[in-house]
Amino acid sequence: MSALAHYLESDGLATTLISLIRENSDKIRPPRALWVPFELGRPLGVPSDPAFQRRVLTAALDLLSAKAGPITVDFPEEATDRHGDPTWSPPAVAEAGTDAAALKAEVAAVAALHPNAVKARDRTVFGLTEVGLAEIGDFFAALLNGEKPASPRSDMRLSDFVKAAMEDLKSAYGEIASIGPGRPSSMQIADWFWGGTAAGRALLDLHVRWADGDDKRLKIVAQNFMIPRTQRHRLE
Amino acid sequence: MARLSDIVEPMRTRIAELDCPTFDTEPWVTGPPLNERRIAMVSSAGLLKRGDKGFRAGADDYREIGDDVADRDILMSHISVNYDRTGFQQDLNLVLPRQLMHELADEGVIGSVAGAHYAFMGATDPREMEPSAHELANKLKADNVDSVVLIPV
Repeated sequence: MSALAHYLESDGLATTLISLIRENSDKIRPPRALWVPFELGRPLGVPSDPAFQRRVLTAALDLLSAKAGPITVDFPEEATDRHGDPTWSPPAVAEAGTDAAALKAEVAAVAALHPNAVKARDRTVFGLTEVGLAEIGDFFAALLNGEKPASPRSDMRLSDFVKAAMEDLKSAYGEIASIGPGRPSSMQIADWFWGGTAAGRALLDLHVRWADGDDKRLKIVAQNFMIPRTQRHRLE
Repeated sequence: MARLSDIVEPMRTRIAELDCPTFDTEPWVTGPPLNERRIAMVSSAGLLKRGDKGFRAGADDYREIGDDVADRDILMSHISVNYDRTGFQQDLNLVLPRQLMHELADEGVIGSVAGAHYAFMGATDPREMEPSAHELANKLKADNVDSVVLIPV
């Protein structure tokens, strides 16, 4: 982002940047940067808190009126929801077991709840694969059974579909987990998905198979783009 | 978080030792008062419109998101799994604050909101993005944009 700011400013556009990693911005020295002490993935700080977000955005915009630079300013507030919600409990969908049947049953339960979450927000980020949740569940169930199904999308190779399907799966689980009651932190949702669901266990299982497997593209996905660093202890 | 000390290893060391580009010049563009500026947002979150082609590892291009695209049609196709997406799932404004930008425009805090916003996929070395960035600058100027807010993920 800091380098993009440099390129755009060089072309005559005034830029201001929200910076999540101050150390990187300090190296690149973009014209104007607001460093924020927020979790990666949350540049405006707190979801569904427009007053907080507005303070972040206006602090970044105010830098456009700075007289000289490069200039970096620290945003003075911490995110207000970083410690999670002890009253939150995950949706009752999780299936015990590590087999394909457990995964399919669990995905069916998630699919039953998901429309309510979509309706409540009038929005979903599910849809990278453009196939339904049940089909994604069947796809991963087949992989768990040792099959190598064709990519359901003829224009996406298998490894690309796997990556998109994982994101769609996590989106559906995340959207039903965060709809309430309670306001779970990102870590509460991640710990539930990776530690408490058949879907999480399925991806951990597939990771182990692919990381040591013969398919080069799936190996790359497994080694780099599958299990978050914060959840890798579950592989040990 | 995003204090380095809050990020788990080995990601912390990887970020700390990231080979960042450095520049010999320090460009500085001045402009009119904030309430006269036309402002676009550029994200590195791998955002795209529903149906757009997803980003792959090494992608150095960008996707255009018209300012009038419905919230429900904006997805995220970043390759990294090492940042939170559950906030974005709950609230688009956490990553692309279009609603806030329009409120600021309606209140006269900023001049106007650009006709489109843009997203790169931030895992790519930014040096690879330079040609796309220059192309994007021309697009923004054609929309009479004079200022840009860059928003990471």
